[in-house]
Amino acid sequence: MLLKKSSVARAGVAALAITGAVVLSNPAVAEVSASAAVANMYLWRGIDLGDGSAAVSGDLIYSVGGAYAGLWVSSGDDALGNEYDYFVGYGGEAGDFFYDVSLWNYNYSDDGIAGKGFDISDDTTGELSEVIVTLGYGDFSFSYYDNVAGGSGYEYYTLSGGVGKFSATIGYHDIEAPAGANDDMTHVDLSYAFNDNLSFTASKVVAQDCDKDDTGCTGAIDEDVKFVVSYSLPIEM
Amino acid sequence: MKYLPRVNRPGLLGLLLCLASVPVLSAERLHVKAGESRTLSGAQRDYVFDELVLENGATLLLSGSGARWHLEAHRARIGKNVKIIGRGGVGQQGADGKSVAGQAAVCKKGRGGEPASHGGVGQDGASLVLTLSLEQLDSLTVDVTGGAGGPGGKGGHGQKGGDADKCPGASGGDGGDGGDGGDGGNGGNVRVYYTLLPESGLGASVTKRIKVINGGGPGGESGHGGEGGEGAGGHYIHMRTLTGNKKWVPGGDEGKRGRDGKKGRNGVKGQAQIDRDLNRRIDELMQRQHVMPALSKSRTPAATADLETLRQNQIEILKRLDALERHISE
Repeated sequence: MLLKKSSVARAGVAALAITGAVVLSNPAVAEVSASAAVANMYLWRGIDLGDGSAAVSGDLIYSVGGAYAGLWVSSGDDALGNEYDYFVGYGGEAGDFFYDVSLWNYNYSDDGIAGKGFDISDDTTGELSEVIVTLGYGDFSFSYYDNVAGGSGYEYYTLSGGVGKFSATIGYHDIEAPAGANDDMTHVDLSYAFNDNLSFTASKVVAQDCDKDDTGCTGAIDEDVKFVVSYSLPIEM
Repeated sequence: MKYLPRVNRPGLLGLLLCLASVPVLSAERLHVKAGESRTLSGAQRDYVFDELVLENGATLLLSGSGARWHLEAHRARIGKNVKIIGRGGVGQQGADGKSVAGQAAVCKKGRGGEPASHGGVGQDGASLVLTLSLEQLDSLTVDVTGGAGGPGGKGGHGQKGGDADKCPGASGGDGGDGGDGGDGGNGGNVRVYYTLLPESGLGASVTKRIKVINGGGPGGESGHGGEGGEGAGGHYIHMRTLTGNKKWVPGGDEGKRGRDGKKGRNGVKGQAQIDRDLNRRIDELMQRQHVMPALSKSRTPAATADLETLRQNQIEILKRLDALERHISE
């Protein structure tokens, strides 16, 4: 089966633009934080959503006592346009163990996602949402992503670890795709934080259901290594 | 032994009154045997001893820092290496500031360490006026050094900054300031007035046999400032970014180190004076000349003025005589 990048981005998976969020347990102290970032591409779960164009993102997060809520906004998705995501979650820890559960809702301000293969009839808030569960120990964690609205038939898993300023993630897309389409894909991301602002990431698709040279399979992903440089700037509140 | 409360130039009546009023201290002499020490209490700061005997290596301790002492002996025998000590007390050490242990709440800056308190001021050395009629004097050291100032306390250490989470890691708390060292106490003023009894055979070498140590106490050392708390380290969190689901969250800075305190000021050296007891010499001279009775009977204003002029002239003559004796002895 072949999954074209467009169908990954739009059909099912794409809208699942995600992330896990881990919150270490903390006392009931309210905190507001924000940051902005630029990168040479929008790398989403091993896939370049912008076809090489740069992207800008920003987040605003309110947290208190392990609970949090926020907004994540980004450009760079060539297919769906500017994106803004709402999220809420709660995290805690017990010794070196930690957990986090969050709910993300994905929205696109430009082209919208209705009628683009996400099982969504209109572009109202909440039509495309995903739950993320993360369990971790020390510097290692496992995350599970599943749609609770829209984009049914798609799940995503990650296994991450880190040492100091280095981080590695293995991600696996599990897609209920029609015959002849790409129905799973595995990628590996390696990241290095040069300092508090500048980070480098190399990402490669290491396995997929479609053979990259099989033109009969739709949704095949480019297997070239993708290099991303990003500059993030925490903003004092 | 016998301690008589000292009255300025007490007459016999005064001495008798004093004796009557302090019956507990009515021994005739203060005698400190060789190598032994004796402490004079605060109640004995103004005393006249009929006889003061301090044998070789004896030590006389003056209790209470910074007090004024007036001690007089009608007959003094002082052996070798005798000491009279009235040093000032050392100032108290400043209390250390409390450190803030542990780590601040997530995202919160560590709390600062408490500042230390300053060292206490060193006490002044005793001020001593010693009036001695010397029968014997080998060597006497009067030590009224000022007390050292107390050292300042150390500042408390700051708390570690709160961990990064959605926010950047927080900075560590600042260290508390160190305390200032206390000022050193001033050295005591020492005045020794001596009269040589005929049997002493001391000549004019008395000043060489009396050593006065009355430097100011050193200022207290400054307290060090507390160390700043450690900043929370940066680390990756799970968070959506343009590069995947890992976000590097920066750590916080280390807190500022507290300022060191200032060193205390050294105490000021006291004054020292060793002189013949001119007043006593004048009294003796006048008594020998039988001037006083004659004048007192026929005291007119003119005669009183003459008497005062004569007295001033005698003082001046004695001063010059004393200086001449010292010059010869040196």
